[in-house]
Amino acid sequence: MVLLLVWCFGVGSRLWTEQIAGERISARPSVLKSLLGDSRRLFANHFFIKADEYFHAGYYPSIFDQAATDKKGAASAATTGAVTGDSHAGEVEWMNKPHDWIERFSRNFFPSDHVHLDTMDDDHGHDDHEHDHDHGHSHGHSHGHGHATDGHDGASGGSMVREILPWLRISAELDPNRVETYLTGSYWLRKRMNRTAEAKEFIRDGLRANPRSYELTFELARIYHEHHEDTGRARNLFNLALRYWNDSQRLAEEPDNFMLAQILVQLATLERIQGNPDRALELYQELRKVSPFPESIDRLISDTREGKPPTALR
Amino acid sequence: MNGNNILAISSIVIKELYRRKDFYVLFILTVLITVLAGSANFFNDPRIVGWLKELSLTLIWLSSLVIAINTAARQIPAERESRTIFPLLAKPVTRADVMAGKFLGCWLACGIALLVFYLFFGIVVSAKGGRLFTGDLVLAVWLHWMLLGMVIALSLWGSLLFTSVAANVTICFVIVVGLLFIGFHLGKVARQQPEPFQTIVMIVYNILPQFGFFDTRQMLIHGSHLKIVPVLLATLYAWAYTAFFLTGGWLAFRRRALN
Repeated sequence: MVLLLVWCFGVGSRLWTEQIAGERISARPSVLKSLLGDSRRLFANHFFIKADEYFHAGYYPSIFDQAATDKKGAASAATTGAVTGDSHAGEVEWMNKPHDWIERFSRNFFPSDHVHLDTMDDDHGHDDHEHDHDHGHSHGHSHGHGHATDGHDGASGGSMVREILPWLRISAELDPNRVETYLTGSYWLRKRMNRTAEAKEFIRDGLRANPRSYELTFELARIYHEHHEDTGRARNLFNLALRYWNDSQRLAEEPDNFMLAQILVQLATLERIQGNPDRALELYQELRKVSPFPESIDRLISDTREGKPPTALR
Repeated sequence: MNGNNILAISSIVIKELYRRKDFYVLFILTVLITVLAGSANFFNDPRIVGWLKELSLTLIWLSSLVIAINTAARQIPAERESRTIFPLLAKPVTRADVMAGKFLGCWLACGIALLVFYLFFGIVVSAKGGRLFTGDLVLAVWLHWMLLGMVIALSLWGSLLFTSVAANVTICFVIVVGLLFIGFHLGKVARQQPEPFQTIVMIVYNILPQFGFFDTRQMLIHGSHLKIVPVLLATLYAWAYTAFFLTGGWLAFRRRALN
């Protein structure tokens, strides 16, 4: 009986270790994963924040200041810029009036002017922050219910933005499942630096690590739509993004309606361009349910029914 | 104090630094890591230089602190262990001369090392097409050197308080790095504390040397400009603390039995 138990234990242990070994071989962990384990996600987050710090040209709260800014609902400017097109939208001013002589004097030895790299260029330093702030907001707000629009057109200025890219690449290497990193990198690459090929490659890297990500598929679709003007492929990718959204978010407790709205509005526009008003109307009806501005969707619906051409959404 | 004695002692310290391997090893490591990192390709953009500046400056700061603390920490214990302190003090050389000479030698040696490191940094940044304003670089190197003066004086004092060189090096390193990271933020921490802790922490915050005044890496990395007046005031601040640490060291040395 004892021998039988020992034999059972031995066989069980062997099968279990073989299964673990098999999983390890199939997963093929990278050197970083082997070395750092799950702690690499912490480092990835650190480097992602580093990118935001660079975006602010070093004007960034320390961990001691971050607690206060988090309470005020601050968000990463580089990410906010990538999602809403207005990099100042989630910002909270963290540097208040100095409390003592050390605080006052110390401001001479670290960057204490609030600037963004997208308002700087190699030779001419930076523009006035307030000017950029107004410009970004007025442009962003004119586009209705928060669709991804850029505060600046094209790739004008902002050549210094490239300085955030290494940190985003390192962050993505450390945590390939962090979709936000790819989206932020792609936005700055294609919108501000006109480097569409690199943006597409970065998004493809993200899709290899996150094959069913609706955000990354949506971003790839936008690249095909806005930069390659390949409406057929873009429409297929928007449809795929919608399918992935349905698969992962439809039954979620708090579905990502912001992204759904973006997918629907882009897809409906393409359907109108391609002469499918019925499908566009279906999509607008869906959009109406999640949009915070249903009256503007009603306008789009009536425009579609009247056969008016769609306005470009970029 | 005798100026000639101080200069003679300091010249020996400088010779010791370039005979030892510490500086060469750290410099070659810095060069290797920076050059390897510089060859990395990010999105086919060869002009990305900020992260390389950050890496290079971090290595330079780390190397300079290691050189300064290690060199200063072993000066007096080495003289005592090899018993060369006795013939040295048998000459018309006072303990204050020894202290000042050791400090000056370490400080000048670190200054020479800093020049080599920053020259390499300038070459790397220029080669990558990055922005680097000469005036800001000069002021940053100056402030860095002033900080090393305080660190060397602290380490010399520590070498007379602690029994082993290793203990002194470790404690000095912890103090310096700790002050660099949290020095500026002690005030914020203090303001959140109830009394009497608030007052105690605020006193400590105001008394401790704020090494952060001399850390201008972020200014160099992001191309912000340094102003001359704050740099001059910071220099006076550094000299005051250096003098305080040296006096403390001299008092400890005066009372210390040599055998």
